[in-house]
Amino acid sequence: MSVVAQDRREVHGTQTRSPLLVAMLMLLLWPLAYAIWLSFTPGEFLEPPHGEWSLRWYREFFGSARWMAGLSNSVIVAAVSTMLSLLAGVSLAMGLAGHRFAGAGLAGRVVLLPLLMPPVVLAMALLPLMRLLGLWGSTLSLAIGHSLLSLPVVYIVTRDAIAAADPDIAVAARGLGASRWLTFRTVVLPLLWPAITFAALASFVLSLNEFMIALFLATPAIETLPKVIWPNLRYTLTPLVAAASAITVAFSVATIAAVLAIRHWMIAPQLSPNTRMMTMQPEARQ
Amino acid sequence: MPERVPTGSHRSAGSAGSAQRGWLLSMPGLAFLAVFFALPLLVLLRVSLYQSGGRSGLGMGGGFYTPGTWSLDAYRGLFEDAYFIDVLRFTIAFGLQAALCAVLIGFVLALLISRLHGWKRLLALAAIFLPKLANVLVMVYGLQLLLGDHGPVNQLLTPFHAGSAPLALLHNYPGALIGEVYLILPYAVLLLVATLDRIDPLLRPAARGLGAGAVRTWVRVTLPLALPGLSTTFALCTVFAFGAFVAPYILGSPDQFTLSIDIQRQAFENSNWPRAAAEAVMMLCALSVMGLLFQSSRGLTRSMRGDGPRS
Repeated sequence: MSVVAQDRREVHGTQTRSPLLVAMLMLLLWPLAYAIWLSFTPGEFLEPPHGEWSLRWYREFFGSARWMAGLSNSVIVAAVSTMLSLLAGVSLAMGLAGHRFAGAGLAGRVVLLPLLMPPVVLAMALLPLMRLLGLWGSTLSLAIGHSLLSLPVVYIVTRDAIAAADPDIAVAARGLGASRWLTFRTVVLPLLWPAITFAALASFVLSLNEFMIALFLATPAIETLPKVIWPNLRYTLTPLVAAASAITVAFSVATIAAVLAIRHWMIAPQLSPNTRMMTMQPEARQ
Repeated sequence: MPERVPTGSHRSAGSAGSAQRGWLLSMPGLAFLAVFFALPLLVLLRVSLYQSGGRSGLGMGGGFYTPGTWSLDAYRGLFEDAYFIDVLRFTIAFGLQAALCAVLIGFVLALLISRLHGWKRLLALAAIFLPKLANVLVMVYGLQLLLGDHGPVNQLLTPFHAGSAPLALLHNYPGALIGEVYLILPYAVLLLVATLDRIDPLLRPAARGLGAGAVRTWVRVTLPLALPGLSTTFALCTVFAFGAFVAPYILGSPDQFTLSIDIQRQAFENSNWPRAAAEAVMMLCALSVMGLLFQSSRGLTRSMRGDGPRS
């Protein structure tokens, strides 16, 4: 084969060593797949179903008050924390974009810090604070902790969407006589909508799966699903944990589907390269 | 009549009105950061300066700390305690090793994925990221099932070491390391795919056209261009692995206890909040030092190569 032809294949990326990649990806997903497979066992033991599959452990999960309370707590906390992180993150992104005021640069950097801080430090810092504020033992305390973790994601995604939007559009709307509020509602917000939706889903999933802050802040009454799973992981190993795991994975897959659907239906080009990277869109390459 | 038409002043940031508007807009976010991020860190510092509450190991009697006291006992305790020094040293070494493994494996994956296009690429990235959308416990639970003495991994490996004892992969160092690498690998892959995507796709064929072989092209073109991305990814992975908790706790043994685990145990099993808080403060200090080291090492390589900071 000529060098040129080979190079062209490289440019167009058809030269792929797929078997190695497929093997590595399978190895990466093996623990997840194995846990889910095992959850369908009809037996008491930690082994995958030998012939017949059964929903026995799922029935047990949905029949148990403690696990169901964990699930509903998780969803409530995730919903509240999504609202909080959207409020704080979008406000920061809009306030810091294009407006220069004392401390704006610092705020733009501080907001990213929760991403780099070990979760245990945040959890240990929030524990005494929540007790001082009288929030300890409330679902709100968990929601606040989780929104702190998703705040950087919401901020980055919204900030990039603002940067990608054409500022002249808002100027034109104002020039045509729209008030600030009308401009925001009918011009700016629709432009940011795909980014905000993506940010909301990301915060929701992040909170749903968050473990460390829940471990420190959750009292028995407000345990989220990961907190209910935790002692089972350490002391008892029944297939029920596998079913619980599979249920959390199902939640995540549903969320991925939602993200992809939104990406498909809404106007994708409005997302910034960063966000497109996060929604796994190949066109972000250019 | 509409109010005054803005004449392009929208973009000229710095006007008093714009600054005020920006301040007002970011108010909710700034207030949130102040109360729930800055304040807790101050509280953490304050708690680390209390005297411990004199609770027994069982959490009986006394409080989590003694209110109204100021003392450096917690910090003094840290440095007199050989166990803490051990844990700190182990956590740093563990973080570096997990990050190194994740970057090496992640680079191979990223190289393979960066050549894909269309739905294949999408599928590969989705497969990489799927475990991150499930919670960490699920992944660790799966690994716990796989790595046991009679687990599928050992069953698969039996033909290769027939007769000898099963490979010990659980409740020891390899188990903790494998688990942590699994947890941080997706970040490494995504960051490295982004790095490779930023390399001009025409450079490789250009090098080949100029007579360089495949290996030479890789060593002289791809690798140098990926190097800054590789070092950033390594730094970020080290930061993530430095906070490791679940993988060493569940897949390791008490010999693999990290700083995160010790903080949790001090806070909940010993009910010694000043000690836990002091360890958390030390953790932040260690992270800051790592960050500074990384920045200065980057500056050093840049000045050695003789090019200035890039945008």
